[in-house]
This record gives sequence, structure tokens and C-alpha cells, in this order.
Amino acid sequence: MVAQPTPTTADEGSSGGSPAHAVGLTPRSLRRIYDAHHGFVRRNAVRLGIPRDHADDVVQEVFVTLVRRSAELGEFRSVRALLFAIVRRVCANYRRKLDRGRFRPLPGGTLRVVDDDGFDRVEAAHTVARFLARLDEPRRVVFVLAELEGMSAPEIADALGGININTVYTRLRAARERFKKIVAAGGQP
Amino acid sequence: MTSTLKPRERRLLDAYLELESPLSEAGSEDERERIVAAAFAQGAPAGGPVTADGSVRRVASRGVLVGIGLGLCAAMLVGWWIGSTSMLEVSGLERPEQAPLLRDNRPVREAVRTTPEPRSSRRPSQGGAAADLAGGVPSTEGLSEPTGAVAPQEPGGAVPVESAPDDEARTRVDAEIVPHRRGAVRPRTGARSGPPTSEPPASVSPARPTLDPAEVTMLDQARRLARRGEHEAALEKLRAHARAYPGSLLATERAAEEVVVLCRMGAASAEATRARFLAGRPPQYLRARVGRACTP
Repeated sequence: MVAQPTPTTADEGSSGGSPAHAVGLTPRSLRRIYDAHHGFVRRNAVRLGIPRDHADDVVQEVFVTLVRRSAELGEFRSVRALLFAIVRRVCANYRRKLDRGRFRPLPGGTLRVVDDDGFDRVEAAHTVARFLARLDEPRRVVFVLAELEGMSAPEIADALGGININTVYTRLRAARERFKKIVAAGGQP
Repeated sequence: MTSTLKPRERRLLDAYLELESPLSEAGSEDERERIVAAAFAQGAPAGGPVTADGSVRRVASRGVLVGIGLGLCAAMLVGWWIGSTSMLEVSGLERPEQAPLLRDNRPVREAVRTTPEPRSSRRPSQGGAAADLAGGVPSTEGLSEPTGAVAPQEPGGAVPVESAPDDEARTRVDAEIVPHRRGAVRPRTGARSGPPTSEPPASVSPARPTLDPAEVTMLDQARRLARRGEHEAALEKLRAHARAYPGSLLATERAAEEVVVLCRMGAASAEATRARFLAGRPPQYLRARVGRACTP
């Protein structure tokens, strides 16, 4: 499992487990959700093609939508799955307005960081970014949620609107195969 | 889910996450509070299935949800009725033809001022959890269209009444501008001068922040009208919202929507309205929305 971004007040890596007793969405609970998942929302918005200078807008829209539609979106296995479903929808609408559909690679790094064994981390990161940019969206989303966010297949299926779990595995397998080929080829897609 | 990637492949992904890590950094506490406040101001769910600890509950039975929703609606209607009734009883004011959308991030009752409020008594709105429920923004003035009658707002939130652009329109109103500030509510008497007292009036101020599902619905209606290109209708809806909900926690969003509509219309007042809105330091997401709509 890839190292997860540092969790905040809640364990971002967890799938959320069984739903707890309902007490309603309050500002307090929303703050906790924000603290726990703000980073998840932001980085996935950027991954889904939102320019960084617009990421704040999208984060705002996501949490507004979370409050507005919390009763409509039904049962999700985890808050992350619910949030990703919202992120995906908000980003799709946002990209249409921006007329930008392409996944944006990371900005050029000015610091070259090379490990002792010669592994260039910055170049490696950009290799991954280029790979993701060229991957079709269905596979990219599954790959990101599985390999970068560490979500389970049922969680991913939930986040993608309840698609079949086998579909998740199929897309993930295809994405992984393509990634392996790129790494084997020295990072050139 | 167990990954089948090899260590070297995993290393590339770790490098990517590391370079991406600034995206995961939490924003400031102010930013969080602003987002939470705006989410509730715009979200206004009928019920809340998300729990305090962040997990998601199973959907309750329909009957329970309906009961909760009806109870909330009834409570909100009672609260609104008490507020509106008290306002009418105490003030005897006529509703202005054009109510300001927002002033000093607090609801403002349109008024005619015979003597200006002493500047020393004005205090820009300050931050805090309550203010942040409305975005913590000492934001925009109201409509600047010819039928509007709202004073422009100084940066920082104070309202220079003496620079009101349309005093003739304001003479129709028989009350006094009461910039609503926490802890300094002006009593609604016939007096039109003097510093505000620190003692709240006996009745409930109509400037109390409100958040009613109907407010959200009305603002959504205005937005839909604007998206369909029915700008005049959208503006009228926004004005109606300002009249009906002078204390709305959606005031900042409403003000932003007004600017957006004016810009799309190409109205002569669009630029000035936008400048005043931005001078109030609204949240970044609203600045961005206004900026996109008003880009030449």
C-alpha cells in the first residue's frame, strides 16, 4: 500500500467502517470532516483537471454540496467515497466552464531531488503525472483512488456511483499494466 | 486492496505523492470556518445523515425523515414569524422598495437619515464564528441600479450614509439605517441621531441572521434565472430576497450573484458594484466567481 498523505484529525486511510448512529450534520461535524478530508478533496480536484488556482473554489463547492445533498446521496461506505463522488461531479461541471478537460501535470519542479541510488524523485513524480494525464478517465480515477488514496474496491465502486466491483478490478488491472510498462520503459509513455 | 505493483513502481507513486503533498496541507482555521459557514449557508439540508464523527449513517426510514423535516420547517417558520412580527410592531416601518443586499456583512434596514451616524460609532464587522457563518465578510452594498437606493460601502465595512447615491429614493422610506453590529443595536425610536446604545431593543431585531430553506430556494431561483439569461428577472429575484431576508446568512452570496448578473448584463453599474463588492474582502471563492463573470 502506498504511503498515504498524513491524516489529520481522522484517519484518512480508513474506509469509514460501519455507519455510526445518526446525529445529523452540524457545523461541528462538518469541521471534523473538513479537517479529515480537506486534503483529499483538494488533491483529487487537481488530479481531476482543476487548476490549482481554482482548487479553493472547488473545495468550497464540494462541501456546500455535501451539506446540501447529504440526505439525497444515500448510503456510502465511507465519507471519502461520498466526497469523491461529489468531487467528481463538481469537477466535471467546473471543467466545462473552464473549457479544460485535460488532466494537468504537476508544475515543473525547480529542485532536483536525487536519492543516493540515483533515483530522481522529481522526475519520477512527473513520470506518474504524465502517465495519469494520458490515461483515460475511467481507469485514471480507479488507479488514483486505489494506488494513491488506498481505497478499497467496494469504496471505489461506491465513489463512482455504485459501479460493479468487477469493473473496478478490470479497470485497475488495465491501469496497473500500463503503468508497469511505462516504468519498465524508463518512464516514457 | 492489495497492490500488485513492485517496489520500484511504488517508489514512483510515493515520489508523486510527495510532490503533490502541498495540496494536502490544511488551510488556515479562518478558511475552514469560512467554508463551514458558507456550506451551511448554501447547503441547508433537510436532514443530515452524516454523523458528528464523520461517518455516514444508513438512511433512516422515510417517516422519520419526514417528521424531522416538518419539525425543522415548523420551527423555522415560527422563528421567522416571531421575528417579522416583532419588526413590524416595533418599527412601524414600510419595507423599502429596494432593500440593500448586505452592508457590513449584517442585515441593514433601508432608511432615511437626517443626520449622519457619527463615524466613531461605526465599527467594521469583525471575524468570529458568528460572523463567519455569513462568510465573515464586510461585504457589498446593495443594488446600484437606478431603482436601488443604497449607499456605497467603504472598505472595512462602514457605511458612509452621506454618500448615498440616490437620496430621492430613500426619502420614501421612513426609518433609519441601522448597521447591525454585534452588541450595538440601535433602538428603534423616533430619534434619528445619537450614538447607538449597547442595550438591545425590547423587540427582536429584524437584522438577526437568518437561514431559512426558503432563502436558499429563492437564491437558487435567482441563480437559475441568471443561468438562463433572464438577468432582469434574476435581479428582481435577488431584490426580493434582500427584502424578504434582510438578515440572511446568504447575503454575501446574494451580493456576489448580483455582481455576476450585472456583469453579464453589461450594466453600466457593474464595474462600480464589483469594485465595492471586492473592497469588502469577500471569500476567495466568491472573488473568483465574480472575477470570471466580470472578465471583459
